[in-house]
Amino acid sequence: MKWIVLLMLLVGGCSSPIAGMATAGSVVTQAHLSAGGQLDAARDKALDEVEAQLPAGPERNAELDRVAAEWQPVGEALDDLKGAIEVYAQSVTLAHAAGTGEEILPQLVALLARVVLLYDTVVDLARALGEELPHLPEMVRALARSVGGVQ
Amino acid sequence: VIEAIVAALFRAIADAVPGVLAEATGKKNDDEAVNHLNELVKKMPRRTGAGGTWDADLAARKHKTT
Repeated sequence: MKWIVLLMLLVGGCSSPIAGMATAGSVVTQAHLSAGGQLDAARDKALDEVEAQLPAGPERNAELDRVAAEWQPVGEALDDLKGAIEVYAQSVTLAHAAGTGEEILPQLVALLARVVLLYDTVVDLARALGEELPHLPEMVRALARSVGGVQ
Repeated sequence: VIEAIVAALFRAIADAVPGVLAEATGKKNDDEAVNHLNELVKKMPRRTGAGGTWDADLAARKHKTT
């Protein structure tokens, strides 16, 4: 795991493993915020179109339900990603509070790999709805799986 | 090779997502980095289920009369 320490120091430009892992967490959190904002706008647009096309009433509500249901899987994937990022952030915070460093890195990297794979799920589901989000190379996905992510 | 792949991961995100590049390159000490992460995490909304922004939005739309 030494290479991960070095990588995080290099990539994050940070002075310690904890700062590096926290910075990596900030990167994926920002990615979640950005992807979520794009998907919020796209979903709003789809539902706005329903409201513009149909008068208020049962027919419009049924169509709103239908369109919203199309977006439900990607919304749930965003929430799964949010949950995984929260667990990761809590783990980094606890590691920092406990004064641990390299000894907990394998667990943190496994959590980060899971976050990466969940982000990729969001990308795939968004694409099915016509929304393109930044995509990760297949080799990166394979690495995340090998490091310990679950898909 | 592995180092290059993982570095590519963060570069791929940093290059493609607005705001991420600054996150990846900003230098912070442990306290600053952890606090910053926790502040960012608080900004992520829940979208589905109880209290979810998407579910609340749908309910509001279905209650509109115009």
